[in-house]
Amino acid sequence: MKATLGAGIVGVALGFALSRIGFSRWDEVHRMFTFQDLRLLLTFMLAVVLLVPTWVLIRKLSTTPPRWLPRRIHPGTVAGGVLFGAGWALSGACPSIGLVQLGEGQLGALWTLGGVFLGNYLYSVVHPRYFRWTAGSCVDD
Amino acid sequence: VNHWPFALGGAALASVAVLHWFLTGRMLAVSGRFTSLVDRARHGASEGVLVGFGTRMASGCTSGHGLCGVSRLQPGSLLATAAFFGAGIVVSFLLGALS
Repeated sequence: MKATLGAGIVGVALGFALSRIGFSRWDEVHRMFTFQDLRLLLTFMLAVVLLVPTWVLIRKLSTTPPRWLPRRIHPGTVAGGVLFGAGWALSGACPSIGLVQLGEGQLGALWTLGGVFLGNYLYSVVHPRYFRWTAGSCVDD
Repeated sequence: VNHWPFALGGAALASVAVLHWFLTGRMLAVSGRFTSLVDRARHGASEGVLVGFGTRMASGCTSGHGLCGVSRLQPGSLLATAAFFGAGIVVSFLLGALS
């Protein structure tokens, strides 16, 4: 219950922030990727820079060490990243942005989200059949 | 017979149609909205498939790898983020060159 409520609050804050920053607009994302406007890129980099010492501090201050799983390199890292990057540039949406766009009333995001579900499902079928490595997932984190 | 309800209803519908034109610059034609939404479907869905397939294959997306993984200096996250930003840049420039 506490986790659900917390996730809801974080979701509202994340959606509001992403929408106001401009991450949910296709042309803004396009201008980021073509370096016509560095605002989104700098915003993202600032968030990462702020998080680096924050995680260190949390780890230092917590009495029981937090269980953060390592994110190792595996054969799917680059290939998956390239596919995702191409899809992001074309659709203007990473997984969370699709939800933000839908919340804004961009109905076209319904198809993007449908595609995200389908693609995720397709990989779950393809992986055990053709690939040998253990991929892990961010759901374990 | 009281004809006022008919007059009110007709006036309301007419007003809505005119208001729609004033606000959007288009005629009020709802089925067309479905048509344009469906016509975009194959496009949007196939792009979404790349996102869904790719993020699962790379074990993460912008939040998990880009934000939380990079800031913890995780090797898999650094490489995946470089890959998806790199691909995004290449595809966006290709898109610009094609259009």
